[in-house]
Amino acid sequence: MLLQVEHLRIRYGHVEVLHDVSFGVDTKEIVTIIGSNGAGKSSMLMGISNLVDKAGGRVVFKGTDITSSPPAQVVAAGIGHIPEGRLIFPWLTVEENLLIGDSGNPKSHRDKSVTQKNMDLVYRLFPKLKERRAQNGGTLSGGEQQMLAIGRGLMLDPDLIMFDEPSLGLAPVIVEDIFEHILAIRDMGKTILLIEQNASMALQLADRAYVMETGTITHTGNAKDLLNDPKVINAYLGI
Amino acid sequence: MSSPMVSGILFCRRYSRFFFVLLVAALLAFPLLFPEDPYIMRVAINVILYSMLATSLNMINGYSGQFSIGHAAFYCIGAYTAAILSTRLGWGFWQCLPVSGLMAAFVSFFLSVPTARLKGVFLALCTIGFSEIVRLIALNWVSLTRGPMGMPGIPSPSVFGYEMLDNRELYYLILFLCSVCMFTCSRVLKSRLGRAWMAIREDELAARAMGIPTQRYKMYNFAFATFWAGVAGCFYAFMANFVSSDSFSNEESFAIISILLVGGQGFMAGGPVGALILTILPETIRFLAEYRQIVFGLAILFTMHFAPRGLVGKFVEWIARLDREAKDIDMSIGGGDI
Repeated sequence: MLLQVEHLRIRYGHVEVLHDVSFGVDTKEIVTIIGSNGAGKSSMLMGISNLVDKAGGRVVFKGTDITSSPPAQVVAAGIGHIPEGRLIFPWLTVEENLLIGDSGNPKSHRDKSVTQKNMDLVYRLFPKLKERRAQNGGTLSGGEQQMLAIGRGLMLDPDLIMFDEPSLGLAPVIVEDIFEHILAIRDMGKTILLIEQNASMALQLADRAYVMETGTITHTGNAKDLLNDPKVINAYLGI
Repeated sequence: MSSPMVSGILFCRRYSRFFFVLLVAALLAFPLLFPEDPYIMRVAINVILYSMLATSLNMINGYSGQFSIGHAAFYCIGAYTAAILSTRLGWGFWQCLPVSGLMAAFVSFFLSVPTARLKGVFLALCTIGFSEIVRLIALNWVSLTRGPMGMPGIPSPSVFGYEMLDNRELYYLILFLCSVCMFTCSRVLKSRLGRAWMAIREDELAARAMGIPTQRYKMYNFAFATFWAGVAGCFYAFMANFVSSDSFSNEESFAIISILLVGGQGFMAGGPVGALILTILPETIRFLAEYRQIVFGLAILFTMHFAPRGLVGKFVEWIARLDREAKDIDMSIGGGDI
């Protein structure tokens, strides 16, 4: 397994929001975690990235225990986190946003040409960003901002990219475009952990899936099988 | 907006390098215009000194999103370091200059160890409390600072043995220091470090998710910014030939932050523009005696209401709007030159 999460627990004050969650992600696969609002999906990603403190459990990435590594070391190890709500830097230009993504990439610290190579790759994947590279991030449309958030994550050149609700607040046609890009990123050799509320699309895209409810994993299996699971259909697909 | 106005703005933008050279020439020629007027030269020196202090604070408040309102503390540390080294050890201006800056940076670095976790008003309260502690130490540590008597006998700055006694010479010296400060700041802002500071300002969580060690970078930010406040303090000590704790009260901190708020936080020109207005304005209303300080409060109220991003911010917004209009006109006439 590329990423192994074991018995992860996260607590905000006295409230435990993630109870004993365990799962794994293998190299070059797309794993999705679906669940309703408040299920603890985003907290789990924040816990893996160490953006919130863990109350217990263990995270192993590429065989190294990163449970207590600070976020900068988690990124340096090869995990890119594209947070919920995009969180781009609105007063900085598209190019500056991408260069900030580059800041966490240890390879570009050693070799300056890595920055340009990664930026070319992002611009090839999202030509619109190249057109708007001198424009402030805050002036982009929602879809373009999501592209920027993904591009910024790619600048880290991570082995595993964790997407947190990439479809949030976007029109269906834009969501389709974003999901196609996620597939293209997987084809580039990246591993993807996708957190989504749009269960139908996420399950169609993913190889494997986990279903989360109130801080625990309730179902797991092949994504295509879960698409036909009556419980999942009933609870998340609204059919 | 009328199209001549748009054309004018486009002209200015096209020849911005020329206008920059013109500004530099004007700054260099300024002392030649008032050779016999020490008052005007002293006001000009103060404008540049406060530009430097506000630019230094801008690095913290404007570019890293931290909120310091006790900047006079580091100005004070720089001034007293220079005063002590020059009067006790006989050090010259150029020896004292880096040491004063480094002392301010060193102290601020250790202050930021616990305060890097604080944000907003909590950090502001810490910095103002620290500023008062520094002033009280300067006032009460009589064996080192001579306490309320202040430290006289600081020599004037000298270059290759030539003592700068004249205001015009001091003007060129502070202009040089301020230029070095602004050039260095603008270069750092374009570097990986500067971009990381701006990322922290925009969204600290996103910055952490991008692998930026935010607390460490905030500490670097404080140290870098306060270095320049220390350098300004050294210049002040050698210019005034005397330092006293009275010169570094919270009033001084408020003056620096007022200058920055009026000029515009997060813009390199913010400090100089604010310093120009808030140094000259109180001078023009000297007849109001101590009530003239009210101008700082009024300027902040006015700016917060009409230009929340400061005067430079307002100007930048205005230019952006004219740019959009220029593009519209450009498209309506088929892409030709305006």
